[in-house]
Amino acid sequence: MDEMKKRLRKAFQNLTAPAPDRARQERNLRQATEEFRRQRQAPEKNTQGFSTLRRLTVKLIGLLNLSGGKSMQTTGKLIGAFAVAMLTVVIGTTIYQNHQTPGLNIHPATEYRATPTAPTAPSTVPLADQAQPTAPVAGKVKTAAGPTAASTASPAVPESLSRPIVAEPQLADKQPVLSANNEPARADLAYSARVAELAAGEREKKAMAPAPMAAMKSEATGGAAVGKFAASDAMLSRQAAPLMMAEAPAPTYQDVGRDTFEKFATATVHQVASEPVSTFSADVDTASYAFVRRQLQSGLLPQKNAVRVEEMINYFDYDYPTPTNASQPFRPTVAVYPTPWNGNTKLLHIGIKGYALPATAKPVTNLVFLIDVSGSMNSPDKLPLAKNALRMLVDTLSERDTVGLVVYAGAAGVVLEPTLVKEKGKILAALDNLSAGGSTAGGEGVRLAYGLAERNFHKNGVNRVMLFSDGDFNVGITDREELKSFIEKKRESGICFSVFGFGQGNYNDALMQTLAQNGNGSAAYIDTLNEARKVLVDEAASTLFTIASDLKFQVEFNPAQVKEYRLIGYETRALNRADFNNDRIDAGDIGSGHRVTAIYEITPTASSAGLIDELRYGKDEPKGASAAPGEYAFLKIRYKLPGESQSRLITQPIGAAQEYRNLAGVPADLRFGAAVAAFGQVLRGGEYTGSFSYPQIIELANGAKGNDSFGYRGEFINLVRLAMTARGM
Amino acid sequence: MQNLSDHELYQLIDQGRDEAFGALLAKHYDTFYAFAFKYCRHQQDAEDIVQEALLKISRSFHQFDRQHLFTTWAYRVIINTAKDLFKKERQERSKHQAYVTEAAILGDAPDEPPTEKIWELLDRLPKKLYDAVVLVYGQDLSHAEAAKALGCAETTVSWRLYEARRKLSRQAGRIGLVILLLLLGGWKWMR
Repeated sequence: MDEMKKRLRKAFQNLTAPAPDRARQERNLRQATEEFRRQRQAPEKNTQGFSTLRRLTVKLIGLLNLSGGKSMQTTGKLIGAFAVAMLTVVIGTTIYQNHQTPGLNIHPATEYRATPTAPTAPSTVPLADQAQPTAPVAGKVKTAAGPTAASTASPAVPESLSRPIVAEPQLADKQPVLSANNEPARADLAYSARVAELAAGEREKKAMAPAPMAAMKSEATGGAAVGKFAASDAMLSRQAAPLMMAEAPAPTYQDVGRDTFEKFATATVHQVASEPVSTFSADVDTASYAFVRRQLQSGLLPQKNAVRVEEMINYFDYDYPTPTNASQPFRPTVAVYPTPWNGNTKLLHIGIKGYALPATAKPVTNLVFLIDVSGSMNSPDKLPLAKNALRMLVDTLSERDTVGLVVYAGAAGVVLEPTLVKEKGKILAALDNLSAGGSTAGGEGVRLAYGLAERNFHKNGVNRVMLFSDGDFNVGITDREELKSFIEKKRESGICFSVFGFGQGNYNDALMQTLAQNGNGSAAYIDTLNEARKVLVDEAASTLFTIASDLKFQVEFNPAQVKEYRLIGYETRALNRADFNNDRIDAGDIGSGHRVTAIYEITPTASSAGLIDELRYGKDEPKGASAAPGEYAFLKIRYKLPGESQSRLITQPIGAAQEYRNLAGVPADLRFGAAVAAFGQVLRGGEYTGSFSYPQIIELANGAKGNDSFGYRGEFINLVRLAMTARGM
Repeated sequence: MQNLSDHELYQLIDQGRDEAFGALLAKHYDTFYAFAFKYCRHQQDAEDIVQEALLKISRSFHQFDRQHLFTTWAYRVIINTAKDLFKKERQERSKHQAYVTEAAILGDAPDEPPTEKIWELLDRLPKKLYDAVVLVYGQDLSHAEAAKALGCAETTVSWRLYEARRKLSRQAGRIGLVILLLLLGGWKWMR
């Protein structure tokens, strides 16, 4: 027996653990600290530690709001309600303490301890989940609202009220049956989310919480609160942010800056004499702009590699003429005009807009949502936001479409077999059930999702796997190359792969880009519910329906007119000259109504400026005699129609006919594109923009805002303003 | 900040310094990882366990009684996490291992099973006994500390250890017996 003891000790001593993965350690620690911070600020859950008065107040605000009905939307009224509630409570409690009647001598505090929260394991339901109560719960809150207004002084009332709310997360966890048509329940849901919101705001101020995370969090919670409350809530928390910033203690674990981006160098200037041809693949992604926006809105300059200028330009809708039938899905728009940031050069602007499928012609879609539910997604701006985004997307689908659901964390699993959108309730219920935890077997999830999409393949429809993740794959196939080759192989099967990125701090953009570029899909970054709406509802057709694939551009410059050229952006999309005519070479796909813009900065031969000196010996006489006089360049576009393997060609000469002599005469849309290009380049370090400054960009963009019905351009101008004061990391 | 004692860190945490909590975890990370590794003997699994456990610790830190050692309390969380994560896998593994052990017995094993064999035996121990063994023999905890981590009485730990050793010795003994018989059989057959 004693020998066994010795042997056991020895065995354990001989067991040497390999050194832990330090990157993983870092991540684990960060995640835990974040969780701790969130826990500390979580409303409702730990009400126990607070004074009776505070608790009463929090409950009462909610109450007044409920009885006040929908007219209580403005902030002013809210504050008013809060003040009234405070007053009532103070007076009420004083009266209560002075005249304790025998019938009511249970002190509220003791009542609270009796609420059934104590021994259960800490709930893992993320914040926003509390905003999705079941219909009965919401009902309870509502009925309780009646008598309370009359008898606020009674301690029994808040007690009865608190119960449904405290029990809410657990309930919501167990039976999230939320049928699509119970609108009233959803309205109530917004109210209770608001209660939580207010409580959070209050606590944040009191607890002097570190600011950025807190602000982000409440913003996302606001987003969860469906519809019109979202905006005002977000505003509230934004107002609170600077206040907290001042009180925040020494910087804590900062997430910012650990996001992974592919490194790339800004494209350089090429001399037409030696390299007259420029070739690149189309890019319709917008992820970079959304990420940059998020960074700037939290007061930080984005890291250089996060800025892909072409994605910023392509974020905006430009009014290019649209083709009218699907057989030639686009017409190029070209223009040449003076460069705003350089008097000696010109911009050569190429824009195309894809054919927009009419609503009646939309093919059947077979979607498989692949959702990351690992521990790293456990943050209000990740999984809960993704769930809300998906809910919106499901709403836009037609009844004959199907939706499947695959999740992955430590392992991957099918949550919902492909289900007709007709049974929307079933899909929404499955979505509601998701919660985050565990490690991330992303590779396995990708495999499983493709399997599901293949089984339910629609030959004439759209088949698409949509990944919702922060890109942090750490179990299974984690090697980017391996994942890439897997997706490349699957591309042949006709299944597209779209990527939606969430969160920051752990965001692996490089991986997400690899997946989207190799899987015939696009990548978008979703930071707010608004962005989700833009990508998944307003532009659902672009996101879902491909109208042309392998879209490639080739521009040949005329050496008689152009001395040097430089493509702005598209660094990660460059192709070899020979790739253009090779139909086996993959390139970007374009969806219904998508637009692609490319801008070259060219130096005319007449100009004295130029960055590359002419050769002393091999001086070449400019040829280009065959071209029409004044022709700058020749544009060629290759694309394939869906299902075809032979590419088609569009050509267009670019000459004096498309030239504008001065900037003022250029259509506003093109000028705005130039402003975005300038901003992107300045953010990347401004190697070629000279002394062009933020105020000048604002001026340029302001004069080109146009109609701007969604306010995206106004938002851009605000971003430039923010960039003036943002700090580097 | 990692040089501060646990109690100094608690104080900072109470002052609302969240980064102190991060430092507290960072300080003990290697210990936790080592423990998780001893528990499951697989690096990836150990890291998964620690990740999950740290999240649990973050969520329930307010319930932690400061009178106790932080590590002891954390061991308990780690054990529970490991159980949750590997409930399924262990069942699978133990089936597989039963086969492996049998193969080892039938093959030409040396007289005494080397230390690797002990793991196979350990994995077949009942869960409660296994936990006690890892805490006391693996992590060098006293019986009293292990009792706190396991949430049972000190005497229970002592009894579980005794029981574990008894089972292991008997198992090992059984293997020895089988080998002896085989050798004897082989010797007889040779003649």
